[in-house]
Amino acid sequence: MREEQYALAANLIAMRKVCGYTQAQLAKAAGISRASLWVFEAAEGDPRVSSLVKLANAFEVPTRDLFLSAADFPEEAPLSFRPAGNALLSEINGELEELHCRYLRHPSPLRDRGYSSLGELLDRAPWMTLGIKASCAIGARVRGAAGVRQVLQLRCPL
Amino acid sequence: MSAIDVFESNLNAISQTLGWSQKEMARQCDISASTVRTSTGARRSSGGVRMDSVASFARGLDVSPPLLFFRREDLELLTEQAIYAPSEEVERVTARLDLLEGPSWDVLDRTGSKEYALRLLGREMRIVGADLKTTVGAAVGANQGGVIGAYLGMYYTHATMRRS
Repeated sequence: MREEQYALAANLIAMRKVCGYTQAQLAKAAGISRASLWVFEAAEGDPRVSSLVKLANAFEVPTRDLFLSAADFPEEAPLSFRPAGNALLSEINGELEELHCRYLRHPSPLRDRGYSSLGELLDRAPWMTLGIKASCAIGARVRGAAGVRQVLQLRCPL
Repeated sequence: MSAIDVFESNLNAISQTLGWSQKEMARQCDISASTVRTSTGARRSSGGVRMDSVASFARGLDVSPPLLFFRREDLELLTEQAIYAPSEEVERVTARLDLLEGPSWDVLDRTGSKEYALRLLGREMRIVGADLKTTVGAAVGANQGGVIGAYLGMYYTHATMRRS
């Protein structure tokens, strides 16, 4: 199960960072113990699906999102990213390019800084729900800025 | 419907479509019969379903784990991703699925004959020689969204398969 555990752990860490939670805050929000969260983020143990449902609810994303890996994101670029409909999205799109070059394609700890920057970037779009931000985190983890764009294209009413 | 309900429901739809008993499902996915009973909702367990079981089902069925949690709205979100050019196999299956389209699926669903409709889907998939992955994708989609869902589930699964 290691592959699935690593994907889950990486998704949890990326989502938590973009949403600005500490481990203690997320554990409290989800209603699970901090020790359990620590184990999940370390890719250890065999989590109950019910615990994963609680975590997904805290992030306001579908449970399936916690299992997503690079294989679930298309390699091809989105058919069309339509920033013209929203000036803020257009601005975010430009900044994502820079963010991708500076941080998101590098390993940790630079990548950690990339998640912080992504969080700050998404905070400037107040209409983005916690769920969209959390999904962007997974997109960024598996495909960098292109993954974020795909999430935005699928989830945002442009 | 909770994520766990969706998971149970999708597993039941898959076993119906493939014509697998719980024992056969256990054999194919290399897990215990009691785990299959717990995961399909036939047996309640205080421990509940574990992630290891989800991974085992996905591996045994040769699909990505998120697919087992797909619900109708997830399939709708995937519409844009699902339009990658299908292979010949998907085109042949699509042609057979056309036979199921129209009011028939809705009627079967409303009258409580979903089990029958899923078996019908499985038969159509076998006629065109669809592989396990494509059939499972279609079964999950059909369970959540009827024939249109079957198209999307199949396309999504196939697109993922081509990329991995």
